[in-house]
Amino acid sequence: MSKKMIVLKSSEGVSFVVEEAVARQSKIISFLVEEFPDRELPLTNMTSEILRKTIEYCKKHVVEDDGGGDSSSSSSGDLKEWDVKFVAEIDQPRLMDLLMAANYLDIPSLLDVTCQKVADTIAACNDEKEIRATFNIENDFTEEEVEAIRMENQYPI
Amino acid sequence: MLHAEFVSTSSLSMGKSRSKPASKDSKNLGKEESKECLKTRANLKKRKKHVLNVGRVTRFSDLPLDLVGDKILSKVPITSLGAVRSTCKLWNALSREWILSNAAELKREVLGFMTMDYKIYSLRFHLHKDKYRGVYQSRKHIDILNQVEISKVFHCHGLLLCVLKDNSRLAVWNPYLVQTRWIEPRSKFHKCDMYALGYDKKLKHKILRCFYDYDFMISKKHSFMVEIYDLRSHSWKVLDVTSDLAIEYDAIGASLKGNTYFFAQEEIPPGDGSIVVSDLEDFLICFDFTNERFEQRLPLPFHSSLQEAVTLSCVGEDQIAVLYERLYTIGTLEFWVTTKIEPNEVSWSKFLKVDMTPHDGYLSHVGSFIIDEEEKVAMVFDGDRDDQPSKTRRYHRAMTVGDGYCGLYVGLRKCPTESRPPLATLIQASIILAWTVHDVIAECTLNKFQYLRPELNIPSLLLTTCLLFMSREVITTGDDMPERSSQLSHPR
Repeated sequence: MSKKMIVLKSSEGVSFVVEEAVARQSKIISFLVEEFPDRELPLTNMTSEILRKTIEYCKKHVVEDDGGGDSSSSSSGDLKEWDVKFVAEIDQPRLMDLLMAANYLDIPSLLDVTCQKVADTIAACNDEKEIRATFNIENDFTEEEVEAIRMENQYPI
Repeated sequence: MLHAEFVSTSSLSMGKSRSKPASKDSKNLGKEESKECLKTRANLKKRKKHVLNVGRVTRFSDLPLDLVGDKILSKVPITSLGAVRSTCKLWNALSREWILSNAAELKREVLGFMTMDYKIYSLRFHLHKDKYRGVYQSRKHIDILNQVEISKVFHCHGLLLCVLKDNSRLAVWNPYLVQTRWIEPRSKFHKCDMYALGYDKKLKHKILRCFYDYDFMISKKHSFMVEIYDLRSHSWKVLDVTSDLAIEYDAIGASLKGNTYFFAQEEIPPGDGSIVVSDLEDFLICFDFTNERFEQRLPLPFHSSLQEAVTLSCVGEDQIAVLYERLYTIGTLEFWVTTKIEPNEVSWSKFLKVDMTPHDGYLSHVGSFIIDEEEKVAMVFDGDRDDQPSKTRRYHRAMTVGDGYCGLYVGLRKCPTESRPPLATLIQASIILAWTVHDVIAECTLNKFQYLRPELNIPSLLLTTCLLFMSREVITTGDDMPERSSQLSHPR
């Protein structure tokens, strides 16, 4: 019995043929597949690059529910390591895109992994200046407000 | 429009204007505050919509606020909270809002610190038997205490006592305020010293140090020495304690209401080694930081032999749990929880018993653990017992166990140099909450505060914590910050 395939189309119009089980990890796609079976699903706000990345993640995380004795399915430890590597290789703008894609497609585990990566990046910064530089955030505090926060952070141990 | 303006200058700027309209009437203040808090998100969303259409490349500022607050900032370790809050108004508001609105959720979440490989890591995890179990260990160790190697940490009320590997000094560290105080020894510190951090009824923080003075030449007996360091008076004091008890030097006490409880055994009678000691009385003992003495022995619900391990852990703010590893970890794990505990009184109830025989080899050396009463599960932190480092198998692990249930390992971090198991010390959610809200309190009295935010259901202990944070004298860092106390006594 062949597996059911569905077609996802990126913003550039590139089509990706994906096993349904893989794509169904997205709650949105799962819903769309039921509503519109046998139709190409256009994802106009996702570039091919990000869509490819997302599919790569979903393929790795798909739960094999048929075909007994699949010994090759990854253990949770391996999967975790794979996730860490997966997000480590992505640069920041793409990470943001991927995070948005995970949010849009509603893939909780991918969202979790990407958000964790962002949180780790924040934690790796030494101070607020470095955070601002890393994420290109404007400092909208006035001198007084900065001073107020500094004072709050100065309570003795 | 007008309203948006109001919110952005009041609730975003750390409530500067808060004290202006309402200091006379606390009831009004409370209402306004909670309204503000609720509206923050809605108004921030309005503001952000303008920005959203500008850039094409996704930037951090384009991310939906729900994601930034609930999904990202909530994953940042508390040690970075100060920097996060100072980054921009949005982040400041979001992190505050997240913590305040998740007070209930935070109670389910455990935050803590762990030493591994002589470094400190922050931990954040959920305990759920069937649901998602997550341990977020900070990828990077904390460099606040950089360039020093830490062998042990003890937590007491938001302060962390760190024992340096080289035994040269101790450090008391406030993770939220990122402040460190170094403590020099009266006499030399030793590897086999046992420490605890606590406070007395006047909220004076003190450090307990116990050790054996092996003075065979003079008294032909080793004497049990107890010293106290007062963090307010900056001085060591030797206590006159005659003791017939033995506490293992790497035992971790459980800190409860300022006092520390230890697992202890009867002192091995002095002898020439011809008598083989196989059985000693074991008990729980409380060091009372107010009276500065060990209280009477408290019964344990089991009797452990010398070959078995007993570990203590705090449960919330008024209970202690004990783990008894029968025949070490190849036998059974027995968890007990106190139903009542005072310095001179204790009663126990059985919490969980896990048969580890089918999981032979799963655990090798439990260094610390925590339990979740609601879910009836425990998480144990395990490391290799062998002193000889093995390059092939050296993982520190966290494992959840429940009734007839033995969770998967969560590999913590490969640790090639240290054989000691990870020591996790936990911080109650209420303290994290206090860290975040103490700036709110700075503007009103504690009584008012309790009145303002009844929905937070702040336990009295939290208020004590707040007092600690408010109190300039608790641990002033000394001569290097002379103006601080005067600044603090004038709330903005």
